[in-house]
This record gives sequence, C-alpha cells and structure tokens, in this order.
Amino acid sequence: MTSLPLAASSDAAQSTLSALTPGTTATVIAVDVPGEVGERLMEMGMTRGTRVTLVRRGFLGDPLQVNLRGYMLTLRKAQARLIRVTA
Amino acid sequence: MQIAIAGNPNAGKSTLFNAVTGARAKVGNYPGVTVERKIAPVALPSGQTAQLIDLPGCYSLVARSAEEEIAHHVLTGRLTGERPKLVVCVADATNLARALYLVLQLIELEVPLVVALNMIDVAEKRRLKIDHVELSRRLGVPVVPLSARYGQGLETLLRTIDDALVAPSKPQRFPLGLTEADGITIAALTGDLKRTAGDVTWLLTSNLRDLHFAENDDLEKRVAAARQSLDANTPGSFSRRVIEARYTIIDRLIDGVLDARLVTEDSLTTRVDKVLLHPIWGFVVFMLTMMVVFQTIFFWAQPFMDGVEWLIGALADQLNALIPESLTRSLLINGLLAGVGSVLVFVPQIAFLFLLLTLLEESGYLARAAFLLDRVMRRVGLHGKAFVPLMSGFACAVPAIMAARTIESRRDRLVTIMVTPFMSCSARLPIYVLVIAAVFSSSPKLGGVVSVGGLVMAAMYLVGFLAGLATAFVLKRTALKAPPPPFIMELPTYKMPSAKAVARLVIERCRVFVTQTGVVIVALSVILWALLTFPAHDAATDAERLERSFGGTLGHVIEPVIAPLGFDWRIGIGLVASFAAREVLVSTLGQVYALDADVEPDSPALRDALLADRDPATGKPRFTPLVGVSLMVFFVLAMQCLSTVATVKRETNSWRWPIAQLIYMNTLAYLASLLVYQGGRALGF
Repeated sequence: MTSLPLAASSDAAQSTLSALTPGTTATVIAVDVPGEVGERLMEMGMTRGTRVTLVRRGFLGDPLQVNLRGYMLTLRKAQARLIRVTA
Repeated sequence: MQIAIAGNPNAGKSTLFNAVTGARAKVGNYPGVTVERKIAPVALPSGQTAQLIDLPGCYSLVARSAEEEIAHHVLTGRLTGERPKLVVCVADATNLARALYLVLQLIELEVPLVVALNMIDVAEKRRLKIDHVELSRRLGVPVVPLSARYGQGLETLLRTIDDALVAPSKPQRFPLGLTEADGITIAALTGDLKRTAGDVTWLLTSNLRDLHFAENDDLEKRVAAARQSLDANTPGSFSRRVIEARYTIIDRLIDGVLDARLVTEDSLTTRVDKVLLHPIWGFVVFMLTMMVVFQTIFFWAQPFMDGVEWLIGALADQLNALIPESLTRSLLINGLLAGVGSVLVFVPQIAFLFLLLTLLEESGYLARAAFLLDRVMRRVGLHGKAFVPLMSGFACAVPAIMAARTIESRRDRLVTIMVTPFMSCSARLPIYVLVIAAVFSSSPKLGGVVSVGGLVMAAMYLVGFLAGLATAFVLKRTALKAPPPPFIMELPTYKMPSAKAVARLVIERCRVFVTQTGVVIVALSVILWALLTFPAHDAATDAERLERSFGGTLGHVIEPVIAPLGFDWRIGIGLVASFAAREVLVSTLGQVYALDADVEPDSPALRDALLADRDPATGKPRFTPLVGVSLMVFFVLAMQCLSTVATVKRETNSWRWPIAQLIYMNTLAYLASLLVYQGGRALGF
C-alpha cells in the first residue's frame, strides 16, 4: 500500500520487523500494513525513519514487543511481517 | 464554563483530574454511547469556577473508536453545543513524541490549549532533559512541567489556565507540507463545507461510516469524493501522508528540546518484564494472580455477603414483628427488602474485584496479562484483556461484566459481555448441589475414588465455559463481525497505584452499581413478587398461594413446553421464580413441596421430597438422574438473573443487548436440555 521507496538505491540489509533477532534495532523504511491497522501503527509513531528495537517475542513467537520513540508497543507477527526495516 | 482534559492513555490524565478537582466527580455516560464521562468543578486562583471534563484517553483524534470520536466531538462542541473554553492536554514527559502527536491535532483544530507536561519527576530520574520553555516557544502554547502524582506544579498549571482564559495563546501554524494537488482539493472542500482546514482534515482522515453521530449524507458523499481524489495522489494514502507529515513536524519540534543522550531505561520495568512476560514464569505468575482474584470474589467476599444477608434477614424479622400479617408486609419484606438485599449482596464482590482489577490495571500488569494471553484468546476472536471478565464470571457475572470496561474496542467489549454469563457463577452452585445431592449422592464411586457427583459438577462448569467460547466465536463472525483486534497496545512502565485513586474508583463503581443498576433490580424484583403473590394472596398456605399465583399458573401453563425437557409444573414454578436469581429455585421448590422456604440445597427433607415425587400415571419417580442433568444443563446455559440483565443494560446503555442475550441464552438452554433429556431417553436412561 505505502511502499515508499526511500531512495533510488535499494539497501542490501533490508528485512522485516518480524524477522529481527530480539535485542536488535533497525530503521523503518516502509509500513505496508494495509488499512486502518497500518494507520494506527503509524499514529503510534511507526513511521519511516523511526528506530525500532525488537524487545521480545511472546509465547510461541507471537505477539511481539518493540521499543520505539522511547516506549514499549505490542503488535502481532502478521503486522510486523509487513513492516520493512533496514539495519 | 468548561475546561477539557485530553491526553494519551497512561499519561496520568485521571491523576491530574483528581489532583486538581479534589471533590468527587460526577460520573455518567455520554449520551448514546458507553463511554464514561467524568465532570467535576475546579476552583481557579482568580476565584472563578470551571467545570473540568475528563476526556477519554486517546492517541489520536481521528475517529476510529467511540472514545476518539467522543473526544473530538467534545472538543469541537459538536456533542453538547458548547465548545470548551480551554483544553489542557496532558503529555507524558517520558513519551514526548507521541504526546505531541495529539497536541498537534489539537492545534490543528484551533482549540485554546495549555500543555501539562506530566511525570516530569520520572523524566528527571531517567535523566531525560526537556527544555519546556523552548518547547512552549516553538508551539506557541504554554507548557507547564508538573507531577500530578506528587502534586508538583499544580498551582502553576491553575494560574496558567487563568491567564490563558483571559488571553488565549496564539499557537504556531504547522502546515502539513502536503503537495499542491492535495492543497487544492482541501481548499475546495474547506470553502465548500464552510469548515476550518483542521476540521476538514479530520473529516477526511476519519472513518465516518462507523461513527455514532453520523454527519449528513450529503457531507459524507462530498468528503468521500474528495478523499478518493486525494488518495489517488501519491505517495501513500492521504491519511498516511498526514500522519507522516505530523511526525516530521514532531521530529523538528523535539530536535534540541528533548535531550535523551543520557537517558536511562526504566530498569525496574525491564527487570520485572523479564519475569512477567517470560513464556513460562509469566504464565505461572498470571495463574497465581488469577487464583487470588478468583479466591477473593469466590471466598473472601463470602463473610461480607453473609453479613449483608444476615442484616437483611434481621431487618425482615424486625418488620415481621412490627407489622401485622398483611399484603403490605409481604410487599415490604418479600418484594422491596428482598430486592434491596439482592442488590447489596453483590457489593462486596464488586468492591473486591474492582480493588484487585484497579491495582492490576494501574500498576501496568493488565497490559502484560493481555500480552501473554493474546494468542489463546485470539482463537475465539476475543481480546487478551477479556480473560479477566471471563474468569471473574465464575464467581459472579455482575462485577465481571463491569470489569469488561478495560477492553477499549466496543465490539470486543460487547462480545465479552455477551458470553460472560455462561461462566458458572456461584449462584448456580446451589442448583448443582441440590440435584447432585438428590440423584447422584448414592452413586458408587468410579474406580472407588472418583465421585460421580463431582464429575457431573465439573462437567457443568466445562459446558458453560465451552458454550461461552463457542458463542464468542460465532458472534465475532456474525452480529459483531470484526477482524481480530489488532493488538497494537502500549505496555506502560510499571507504577505504584495511588491508594487514593484506587479507593475512589472502587467506591465509585459500587455507588454506580447501587444507584443505577440497583434501581432496576429492585423494580424487577417487586414485579416478580407480585407475580408470585397475586391473585391468591390470601391463600391459607404458602404452597397454595404460590401454586395459584400468576407465576404458579405460568408454571402450569408452560408445563407442556417444558415437559419434553423432563420438567413438571413444580420445576416450572421454580424456573419462573428463579428469574430473580438462580438460587431462588431451591427455596421455591422448598415452598412448592410445602417445606420451609429456608431449606438448604442439600437438605435430606428436600431430597426425599423430590425423590418421593412420583408420576401418578406410571408410578415411576419423576426426578430421575436424567431429569437432574437436564435441569442442571438448563441452569448452566439459561439467563436467569435480573441483576445481570440490569448490569448489561447499564453497561451497554441500551435494552437491545440484554434482551438479545436473554432470548439467546434461554433458547440455547431449552434446546440443550431438550437434547439431553430426549437423547438420554432414547439411549435408555
């Protein structure tokens, strides 16, 4: 939906938020979560250029706990998979 | 004069509200929706008094939920016709960027604004530096650093409010930096609708279809058309461009204002979360917590409930002695006093449950519990937070349904309210005890250890639980169709709940229950008394009066309907009477069989009377184990509790949901009992 190319060059270190190892931090490059859920995530501060840390995964890997803009947020793997990040 | 308090959830809005008002707030609902409204007078240093309105906590004013819609409508005066003179936006200093997202929207809506930079003490402790003077200059809005919790900075805030009332600040303009194409469309719509640019942006980014206070169709169409043309522009949808533009402004605003270079994390929260969110230890702690909650409402509230019952009983005895036998006495004691008693008897449970629940929520634990349970609850389409109401439902549905308030989404909250009464509450226990004592007490133990009665009882709890989950599953796909809640939730830092705030909330919940739900319960119980008293109010014996009453007649009339379930007219009367409360079945059967109304559920006299009752046509006993199971299944599934009906009415703010629930649960109960009895008979039981 909002796959917004940051720059012409594509970064080799691209990944998704759900693929991060707990404890690592990455920068959001696109929020592809469709609809209102995606808008809600963005309103909570998940916008392009934001540094996000995956803190931990819940029971059996879902939901996820992330740290962004100095606070803790939870979201499901289904959404985190659609958030593209780069180291 | 109205002053509104806005702010993110967990920003300390309520703490500030309580700290500056002191007096007890008036709590009610906003008209037409189940969003709580709190108002209290506040005395300003200038001598003026203003009405302080506590807005629902929200992250954004774009209307996607009832809370956000209400917040927006109060701010713009669309709800009451009166625009607040001033808005105090509570911003969590430790969470500045996200707080500013709301502040920016308030500035866009052109409301007179003061920012209360709360939790400044926590920010300082974590070595987070905020140049509030510079922030105030950049925003063009007064910014008052304070700690609502410790009462610091409150006087400055009140003085600033006074000043702002006299000379409103001139906020800076923050153009969203949209493209020329966007600008043209918005300008056209702004002129067309004669609304401010901020209002138009709000209309364009809100989901008008699902709103409670619908705009007119014509406006909706124009907005939809404009949105379509805006969404055709790139990059992203219009809403997303607006959100990104706001955060770009925020990043510029905090650059040089917020110094987080030395910031330390909240180490307590980090350490505690390692245990409480641990895949194994987290669940262990959660289970222990739930056991304490359950114990509290199931057992610890018992002495207090006994006390209330004793008091009501003593009062009834006094009235009995004072007033000669008459219809008035019967109305006073069996109608009014019994009604009042059945209201007050819930108060200990409500007080205890809300005490614990408030502690759990205020401390930040409830959000963690939701995180742990999300995966499990999602299966049936419920929010992780639905677990606490469901669990509490095993003690009593009344406080449990009130506990569903912690669930933000209206649909998810409604589903939880609809299924909670399926949990076997403590009022069903006497019925299980009665039936099991009557028909299973002499059954041999399975394998010499497992009692059949205990097994049957456990099965009843399971049946109710499964029926609840199945109902939730179906509701989420039909009447309350909604995608599984997205579970985008803030995990707040742990905080020590303030004793004053907790006490205030517990008292408030009990007061609302007694005054608002209680009235309905008393009225309904007087009606039921009349049904079970007239027209044979002057009959010689209780048994005769009951049998010839409207309720008794109804018991006879419905006999053909309930006969396929294995019930005769005596149980029919019991069913009619037990709509007041399930446990009334025991005393009613006691009266029908001409025993004492104070009969205990496991009394040998009642058991013998039930077992001695034989079908005059066949001479066989009527009350067989199969009839017993059928009766228990009926009680598991049926909605037979006036107090629950009244509570659902109050919590959903309409009769629609309690009536739908009443019809659904009782139909389900009938069909299930029919299946049990007829199926059992076909199998030769």
